[in-house]
Amino acid sequence: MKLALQKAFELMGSNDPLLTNIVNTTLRMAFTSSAIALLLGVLIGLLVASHEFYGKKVIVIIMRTLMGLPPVFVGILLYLLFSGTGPFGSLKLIYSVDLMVIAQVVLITPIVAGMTETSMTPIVNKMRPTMKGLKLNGFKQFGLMVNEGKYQLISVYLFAFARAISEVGAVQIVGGNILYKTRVMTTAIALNYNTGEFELAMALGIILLFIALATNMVAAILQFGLWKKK
Amino acid sequence: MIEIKAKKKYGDRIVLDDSFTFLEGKIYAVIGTNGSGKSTLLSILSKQLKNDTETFVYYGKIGYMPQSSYAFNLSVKNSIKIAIPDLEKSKTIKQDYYKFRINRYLRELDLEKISRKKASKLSGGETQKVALARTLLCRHDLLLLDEPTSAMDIQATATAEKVLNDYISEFNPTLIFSTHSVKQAERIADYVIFLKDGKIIETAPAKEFLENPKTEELKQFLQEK
Repeated sequence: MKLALQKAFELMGSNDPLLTNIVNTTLRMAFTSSAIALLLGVLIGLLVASHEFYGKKVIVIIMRTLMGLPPVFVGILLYLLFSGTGPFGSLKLIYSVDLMVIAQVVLITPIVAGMTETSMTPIVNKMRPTMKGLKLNGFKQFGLMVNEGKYQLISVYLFAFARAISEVGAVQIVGGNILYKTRVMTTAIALNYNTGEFELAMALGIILLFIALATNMVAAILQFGLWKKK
Repeated sequence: MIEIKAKKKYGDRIVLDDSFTFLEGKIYAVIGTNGSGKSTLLSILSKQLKNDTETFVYYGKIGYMPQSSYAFNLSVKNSIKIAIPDLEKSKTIKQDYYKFRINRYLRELDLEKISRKKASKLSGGETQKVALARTLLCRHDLLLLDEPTSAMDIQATATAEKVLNDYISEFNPTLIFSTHSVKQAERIADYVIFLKDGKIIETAPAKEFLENPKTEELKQFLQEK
């Protein structure tokens, strides 16, 4: 562990082009996919939370079930759809960061939607009579709900980002772990483990944790600011 | 004339089941104990709740202030501002009109000093003042207020009633409000409706109603008050 920690700091200080590329690809993929998933998931989550309709309970159950979508299953499904012989093969997205982002959006959106629905329902229920009484349009209602749930939605985003940055199953399959193209931290860790380079795998894992820590610190500062303003 | 056969049932429990008629431009106070169906009636009329028997059809503009108005995480001024109708936002004259009305309510309801304060940090009475200002910002044909001054002190209640009276003089809406204060019903309403267990027990012009109650239930209710 000590050696791995030492190696992690050495790598971070070395300005190694391969590590820089892996970190950049990881961040690009994780930030893009978590941001898209946040937009879609919050929209779906708030729509479900703010409306009463026939079959709502079924939708909520489906959403919660999809939160546990197996990454390898999503990877295989997208591989079949986007590989050369698949229906979307002509888009030539297989083994690209774009498809890795799509895979993560598929995986993370239900998590964001489910968490948004769960955390926002009590707030939305309190807001609903007032918003309905004022006959506010959908955009205004959405804006107000996001404003009221900022604190909760930051937590939801953090979870989405954590899932994006640490996911390996789906991105390995659709990305192919190609050097200088689709290799990300998690696939690099898996590769080093497979080749017996445990020290390097651990070091990369520690760097990944540092990235997650930095993101969490920014979010915590934001949340603290919001909490103080409340 | 506004007519509705209102019914609401939750499981086996009937919370409201009676026919109501309201004359346009008149003021009605709905009184009764907790659970008598006052809020349910207002929720059905405001279309927040679905009526069990028939869909309530009303083509005029309905304004509704719920019993527990939400205090948004916005400034007091912005909390009132959100009620400006979207279509009228782009028109400069209308914008000035609403700006004037917001400032007027901030002044009249004694909210000027706290206009920049977060609405979510206000007391119950102040929150009701903001909610009342927001509801009264636009012209409504049917105005429904669910215990609009229940959290206000005597002075704030008097101020709110004055603002409400000015609004009535200005727009002449049909106003239906629920209250626990018999005195308030007498001060504001033309007619009073006394509900018990979801049914109308007695309805009459305000003065007659309070001076000369006919049913034992109402006599008892007034005695308790």
